[in-house]
Amino acid sequence: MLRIENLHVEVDGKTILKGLDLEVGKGEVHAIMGPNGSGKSTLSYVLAGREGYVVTKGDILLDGESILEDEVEDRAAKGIFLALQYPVAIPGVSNLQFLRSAHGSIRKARGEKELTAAEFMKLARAKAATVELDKTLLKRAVNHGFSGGEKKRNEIFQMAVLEPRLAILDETDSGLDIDALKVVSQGVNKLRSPERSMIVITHYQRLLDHIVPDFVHVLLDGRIVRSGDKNLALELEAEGYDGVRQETAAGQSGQASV
Amino acid sequence: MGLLDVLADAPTEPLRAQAAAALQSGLPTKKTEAWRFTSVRHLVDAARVEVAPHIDLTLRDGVTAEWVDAHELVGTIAESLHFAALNTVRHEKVLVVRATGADRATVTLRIGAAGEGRITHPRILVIAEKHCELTLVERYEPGAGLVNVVTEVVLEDGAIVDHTRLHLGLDQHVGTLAVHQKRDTSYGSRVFSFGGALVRLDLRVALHGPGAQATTEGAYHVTDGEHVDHHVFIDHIGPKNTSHQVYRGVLDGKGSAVFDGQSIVGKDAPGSECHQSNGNLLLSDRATLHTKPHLEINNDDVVASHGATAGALDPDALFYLRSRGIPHDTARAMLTDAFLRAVLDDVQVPEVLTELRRALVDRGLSMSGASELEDSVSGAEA
Repeated sequence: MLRIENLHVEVDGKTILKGLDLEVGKGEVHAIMGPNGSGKSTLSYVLAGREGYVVTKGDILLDGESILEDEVEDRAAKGIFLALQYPVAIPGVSNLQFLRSAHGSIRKARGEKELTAAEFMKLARAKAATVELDKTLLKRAVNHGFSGGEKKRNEIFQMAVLEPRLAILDETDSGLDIDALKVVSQGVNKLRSPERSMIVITHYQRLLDHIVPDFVHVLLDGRIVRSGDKNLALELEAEGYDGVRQETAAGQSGQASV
Repeated sequence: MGLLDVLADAPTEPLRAQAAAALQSGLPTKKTEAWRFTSVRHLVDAARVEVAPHIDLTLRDGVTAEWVDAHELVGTIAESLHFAALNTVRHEKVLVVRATGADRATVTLRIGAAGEGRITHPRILVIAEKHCELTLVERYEPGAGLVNVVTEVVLEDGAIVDHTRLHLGLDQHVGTLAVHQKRDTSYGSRVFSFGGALVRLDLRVALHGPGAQATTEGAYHVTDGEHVDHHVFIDHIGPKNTSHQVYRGVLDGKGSAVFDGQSIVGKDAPGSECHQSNGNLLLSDRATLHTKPHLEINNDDVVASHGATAGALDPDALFYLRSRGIPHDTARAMLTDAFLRAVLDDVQVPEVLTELRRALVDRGLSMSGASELEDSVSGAEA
């Protein structure tokens, strides 16, 4: 479904991703773990197509086709959704207005009919209930005055309404207490489906107790250095990133000496 | 030669003669401080044919309107300076609008354009009598030529006036709007200037009070070949008066805008409260903005604040909207709409709000269907 090949990305002239490879199959949940500065957020932004994240080498393929030339909104129309680590507050734009515009735009781009206001309201209310989002937040300005937990819940709510094929969750656990983490994770789990792939980016293992991944990858210095199943996350939790770092360093020097 | 040729026939009536004398030194030039950033040459150089103003009125109960040759208050509210003086010399009749009822009355004035190569000098006097309420809509019709209007508004004790002034797609417009507030009066104005080859408004509020409140708001948008200039002057003359000034502008293309907001709190105005803010969104690096909010405070018992901002659209917000599938131009329109909303939301006349929303959509500042969506969403919620 998604294939990332030898991806090199520069931000402000600095190389952040240095040959990242990743393949995500249909319906799979992949966790990407890594310390601060390893390139986790860069990966999420470059997948979404944010300006300023320059691909200097490699490719990103969705169903075998490169998406590098696609604008941010085109990628959304193709079913890519990024739940942000820090959702943006937009005073003056209501949450519903925002989401209806998004929903309508995506359907329009796909050549589908837009929902009527009443149909959309029904959909929004049903989805809000699944992520336990307070209905009063629907009418408020986007993320304006929302608590940390409400913002993250709002991201998952948007995901529920837009029904992406590939959801990227960037540090969805950051800033959440354990109760909020549970609610958000349950929301995500309800959205797991054989038709929907997910990339869950996190620094800590604790999120993966709630959203159990099919695969775990370790991102270090712009590349994926280890991959495994969910047990890799537990291992990392016990040993820390330093353990992997030393192994990787040893591996590299070993190769060099051959 | 030009606009002042008409002064060759010296007027004899004292008011007009005085104004004519004030004009002997000529109309403002680039060197006149208040006209530094607005090219007055374009207004004065051309010879123009004077035509009588054309004003359509819609009145409700509680308001009267009549054209008179003269009125004792004319010229006492607005100072006869520069273009206002020219209006004082050259206007024909005065349209006197008088609110006489305690129930809120509405009056809509539609002032026609002058026409190509022409100039017109409408003169309007609005009087809200004691404890009367008035909703005033002053709407300038698009079209060629120069409109040089003076509007004087008097609020007698306890009067309330809600005033919306529309400059939508004008050519050349120079306006003086002078407001005189007595005890416990409330005046709220919103001025919308969307486009225009050259639109200039001098809004001057004299707060006598005590207990008078003035809220002066405005929104403007310019793009290629457009220039709007708002000069707002609030004079806290008596004690315990309050003023709030909020102007927001969106500048695009090679458009230019001027905002000059001045508030003076006099020595006889203790207990005053005075706030000003001017926010600007610059969508292009070729647009030009001159903003100058200033306060002059001459006593110690005052609460005051002022500030001006100018910035680009928030790139994080733009990315966020687009990442949800909203096309770039729609996302941009959502953000400019949100920015202007602070002023737009205060419009109390539904038809005017509808018209403004349409103008916003036409100018790419708002997304089409936003209002319908809002209405249907609130409808569905109810």
